[in-house]
Amino acid sequence: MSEWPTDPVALAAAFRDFVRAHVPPGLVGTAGGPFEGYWGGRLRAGATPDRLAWLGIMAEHGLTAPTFAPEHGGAGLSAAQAQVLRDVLGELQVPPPLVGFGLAMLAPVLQQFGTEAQKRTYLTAIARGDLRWCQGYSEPGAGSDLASLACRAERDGDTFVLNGSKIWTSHADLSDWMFCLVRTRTGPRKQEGITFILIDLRSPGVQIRPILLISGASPFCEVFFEDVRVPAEQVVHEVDAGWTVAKSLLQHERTAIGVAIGGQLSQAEGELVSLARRALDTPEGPLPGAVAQDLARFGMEAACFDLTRTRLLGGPAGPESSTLKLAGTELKQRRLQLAMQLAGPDALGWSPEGFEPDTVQVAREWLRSRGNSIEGGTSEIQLNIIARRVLGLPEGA
Amino acid sequence: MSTERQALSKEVARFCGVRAPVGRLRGFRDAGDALGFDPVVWQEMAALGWAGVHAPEASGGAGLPFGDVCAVVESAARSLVPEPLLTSALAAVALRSVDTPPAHDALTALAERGRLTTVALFESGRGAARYEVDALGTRLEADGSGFRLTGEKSQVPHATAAERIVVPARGPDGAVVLALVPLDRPGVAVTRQVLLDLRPVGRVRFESVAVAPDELLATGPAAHLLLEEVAEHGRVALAAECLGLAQRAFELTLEWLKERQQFGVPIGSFQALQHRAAGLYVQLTLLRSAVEAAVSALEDPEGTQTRTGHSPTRLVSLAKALACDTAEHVAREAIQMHGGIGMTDEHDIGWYLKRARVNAATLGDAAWHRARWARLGGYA
Repeated sequence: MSEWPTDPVALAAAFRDFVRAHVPPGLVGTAGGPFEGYWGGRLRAGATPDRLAWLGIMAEHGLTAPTFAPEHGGAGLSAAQAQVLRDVLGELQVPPPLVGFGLAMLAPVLQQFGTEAQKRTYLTAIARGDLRWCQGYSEPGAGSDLASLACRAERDGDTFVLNGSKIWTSHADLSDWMFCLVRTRTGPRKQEGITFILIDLRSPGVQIRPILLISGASPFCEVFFEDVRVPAEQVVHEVDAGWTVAKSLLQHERTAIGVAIGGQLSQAEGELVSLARRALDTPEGPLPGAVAQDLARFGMEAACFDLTRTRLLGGPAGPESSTLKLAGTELKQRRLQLAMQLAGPDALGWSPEGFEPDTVQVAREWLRSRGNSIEGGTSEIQLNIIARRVLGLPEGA
Repeated sequence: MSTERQALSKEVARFCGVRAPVGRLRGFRDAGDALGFDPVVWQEMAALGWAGVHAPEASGGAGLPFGDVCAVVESAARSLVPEPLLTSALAAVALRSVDTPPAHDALTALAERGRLTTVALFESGRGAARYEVDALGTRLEADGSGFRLTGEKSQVPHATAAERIVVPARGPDGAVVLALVPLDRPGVAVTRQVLLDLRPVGRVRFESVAVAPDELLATGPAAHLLLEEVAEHGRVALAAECLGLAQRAFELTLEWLKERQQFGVPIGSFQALQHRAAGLYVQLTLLRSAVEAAVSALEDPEGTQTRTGHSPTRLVSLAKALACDTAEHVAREAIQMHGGIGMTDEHDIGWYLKRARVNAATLGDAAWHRARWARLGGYA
């Protein structure tokens, strides 16, 4: 456990020294978006010796989850101090030592709703990268109307017995555990009777099947439960009161999506300009006026989103997360639509034969981006949340 | 925003809500009012110190940063105030760094007594260069120990009420010069122009008007810089106005959505309208970030560039372009969601669209600012 200075300038200097002293040189310059990096977990998917070494040294100093308490594997830093660390990593072009849904989504709700024993067990495992987590929310019959979920968990002594299925579970095939919403009671109000529970995916009766998208292979999976036994101590918050946890987590998810999208946007204008220069064979000088207007329109929107992200993330995670989710995903879609328009015939290849590999990639990302305004709560659901909870407009008849 | 600035902003909104409601605009129009604003209200504003927000304390002003001006005009724009708040702020930008007796007198008269100096930033007939503030047909020629000014400025803010005018012109060597001229000097003719939004403006003709050497505010490269500086401040202030008026038009629309009943329910319970309103909310949230960044770019150019990664000029264009587009869009949507009453002269909402359009076509429209952004990005 290190002692870190409180003064932000001194803190940044201390982090800079620490990172320079410990980061494997091979990782410098590989930083991407906030979800680009090593996800941890028992399966060690994506592990390299450099990534494992970087995770090890940072976890040892509590810096994979700097805001966690030291007894939960963190460094006990404030949110502002943690931001200094993220800034330093960005500045040095070093990827975060650990990324994933455990850190971004489950940890904030465990901090808020978990028992001390749960915090000790799971926060520590998250901070060390021992367990990789996935989110079991949507079901085939419960998409936008999430609260109508039907995956059943029936009490049997000290355990719950699960039957049903989950869909759109990102990286379920690479994950160790799932945080999951299950129905423990049916009643007149569908929001009541939902329970938030943690499931070890090695349990007997769990089956996982990947989903193919319009863009090809995807991280999404379907997960099936058949008489899966889960200890009752793995319920977070109270039985039947999981909807409160679920809503809180969704805000963290929306914020995380907004942040992730923003991270991908800072270089986007420059990349599109390069793409336009190549496609139009104009290595320098002015681009055609209409193209320049389109690029500037996007560049301005991206810059404005970046400014907004910084401005709003200072505050608490509330309905504002819907603004970031909505604006961020739709901006990303416009980026890829513009990229396809600029690349024109060059970006029509599905397979790499006869095409530049990066334009094939653009086409796949363009197709994939159609999902951005659907997953994590559709744009329409975000608009509903803003209309009701921010603007106070009345419920429909 | 600092608590002092928030307090100022609230005070302006409260004052304007009581003393300067939107409905006055109809009265000015129907009476064919020569000034287009209420001199009594303006004197009350001046007494509150709002004529000299950005004027230095040595000239009787408050010496506040330009962000406070933006807070004032943003709040005042909620009721589309036609009094010369922005006009006097731009005069302060033009005059505050000039150390001559005429400039000092003009600034003191403004800050202490609300006696106006206006800045002419537009000439008609400049074609494709219409938004370039240095596209100047007005000439300043040497004449003995002084100069003679000839040309015409259009859409000059508060021209019929102002005592003095700052005139950008081409000097004897072809470079930009800025002259400060009393509007009652022989050879100056002011004609009122009535704009869509009733913002009081006028055409000012100069026929061989005598200008003394100490009435030149700046010459050489400094004059061009000062002109650009005034224009940049004007762009940010207009963006702040757009934010204020769009925010208010949106609030009026929300109230209407909750109050207006059709099919036995408030129309705000219909999802089609809820989604449109929520979409406007998101756009206003984005616009606020852009305006705050542009204000910060004027107040602390280097710090803001380090923090945001964008040059001050780019941030100004971002704010102005987004403000033009968003304010007009919000105002159009506001009229649509008000339905029949929204298209009548009787209702206030239409005035918001008119002001948004005038602001959009002043000091560079969205396309002009996108082109500037692209040039600064090295691809246009």
